[in-house]
Amino acid sequence: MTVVHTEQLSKTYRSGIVRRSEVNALRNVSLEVGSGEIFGLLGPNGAGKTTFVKILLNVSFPTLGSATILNEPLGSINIRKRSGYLPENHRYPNFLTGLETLMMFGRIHGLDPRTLKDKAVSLLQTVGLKDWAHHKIKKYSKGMLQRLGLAQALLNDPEILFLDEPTDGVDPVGRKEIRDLLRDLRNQGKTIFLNSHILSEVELISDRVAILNKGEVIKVGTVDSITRKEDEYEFHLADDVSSDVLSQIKQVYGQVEQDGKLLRVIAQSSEQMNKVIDFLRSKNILIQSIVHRKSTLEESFIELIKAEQA
Amino acid sequence: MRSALGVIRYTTLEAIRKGTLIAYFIIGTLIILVFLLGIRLSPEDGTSMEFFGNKVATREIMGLDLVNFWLLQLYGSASGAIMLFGLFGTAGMIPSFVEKGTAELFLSKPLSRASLFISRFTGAVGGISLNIVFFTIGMWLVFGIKLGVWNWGFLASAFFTSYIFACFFSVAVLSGIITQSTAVAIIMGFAFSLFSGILETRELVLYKAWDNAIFHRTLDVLYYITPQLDAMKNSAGTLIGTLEIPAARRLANIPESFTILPFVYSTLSATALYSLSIWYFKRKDY
Repeated sequence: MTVVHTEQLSKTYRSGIVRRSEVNALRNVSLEVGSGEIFGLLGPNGAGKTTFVKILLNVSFPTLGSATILNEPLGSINIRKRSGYLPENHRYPNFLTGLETLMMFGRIHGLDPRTLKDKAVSLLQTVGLKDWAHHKIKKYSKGMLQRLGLAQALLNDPEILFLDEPTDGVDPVGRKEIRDLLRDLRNQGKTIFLNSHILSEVELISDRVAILNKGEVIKVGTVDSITRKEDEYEFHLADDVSSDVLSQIKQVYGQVEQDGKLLRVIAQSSEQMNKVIDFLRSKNILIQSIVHRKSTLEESFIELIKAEQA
Repeated sequence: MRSALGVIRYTTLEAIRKGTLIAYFIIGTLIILVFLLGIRLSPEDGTSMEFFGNKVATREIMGLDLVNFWLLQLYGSASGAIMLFGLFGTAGMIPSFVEKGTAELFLSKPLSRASLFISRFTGAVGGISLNIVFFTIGMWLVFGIKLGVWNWGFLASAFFTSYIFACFFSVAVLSGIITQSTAVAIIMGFAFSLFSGILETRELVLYKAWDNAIFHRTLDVLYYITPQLDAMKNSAGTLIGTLEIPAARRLANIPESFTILPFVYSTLSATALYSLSIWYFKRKDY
């Protein structure tokens, strides 16, 4: 089931009265996010990630295009009833304690005050802030505020969660806890829409990602499909390859790298890759496994962005 | 409805926690206590009023019963002070609500922008009104208990003062939501209160400054399309008592008796200003 569906969503910011200037924050963004998946939206600063989420949640308005969330049209109050949102650089009222903040936002969310306190306490425990429940949030660190923000976003037991840079300012232990929590939420069937520029984080938990650059989607797919190098194979061998054999392979197949028992081959096709197999086998070299070479999400991301700029 | 009440509650709590409402409550309480301890009917004649043992005046001033004269002065001073302090206490509530990082939290909640705006406004004006009601009832009881004067007009002034403040606040709200600046909202509020006061006496002063029909009509139009703060205040004051000095009344543009017209005009103009604010808020990207 599609939870988020956007079609040609565009946003242009206009400023100036005499000297009109325009910034195209989003250009024809069409995306689909399925139920129960963790979807990462990646992009350099100013790519339009936050604008995109703000439009989905009625904080900003699109210039063109349309979208549905949970089968509700953009702007519907039902979307906000059924979703949770952790904005980037949020500012919670610092005159409240952690518990009061959750109670207050729970009330504004229209939740039943009779069950709200138990829910708030339980969420503070989930995000590791139980001991800080009665402290004013002006005493909270950045990481603690992020955790509080996450608890706030979960108050209404949302079907879809929009998180904008959720691990910003959180220490490594806290990041892992947040990742674990997000996986738990996905396992409960919730959809998670994650905006981040911390690519290693996104790589670890996202099922699918989209890469946004200058307001345009330049790639959508699973992390595996984005990081996989289609024409590069890694041969895991039982033994080291002699330099003699290696030079023979290089003469025939060109781009070959050796790293111990690992042989990295750039093959133009699966047919060529099979020829490498035949050659290795003809030399009685035992092949333990062959996999597509994978880069990190960060490497793929940088390659894509550079290609786009070129 | 629950969400809207949540926003009102949040706004009131914000005013309490930031000390605004508490400070005004303390000031109001101190003034009430001063009057409670200080005023009494003179034991000598049983009709004059004493303030900490000093006879403050004879029984009647300018045709108005002494105690009611005091109440009228008290109403005049307090309503002026309330506009001043109320503006300081509430002008920042709209700009702070729409600043980056806060707006997202509220706008993503299941509440229409119009409801969100109205709830925030209600919370802000409600907090000031609570102070007005507390102060007015307190003073009304003090004058009633200590001097035996139960001026119902003074009691009703709590409602009128709150209403005048709500109309006055519309200018600060519109400035605040457009500029997202508390300072601008306060400056515009003050500027408008001065402007409104000048317009109130336009026939006596401004008309004479430049004898030009277009200028006069322009002033009239401005007067009728903006909240008439002094006219409302003067009209509500007549419910407390009326001075029998027509010249003074004319100078200050005080009517002989209560008139609803300034309230009607001000309601229309404040509604227009609030509608404009809501219209802007509903269309603004945050």
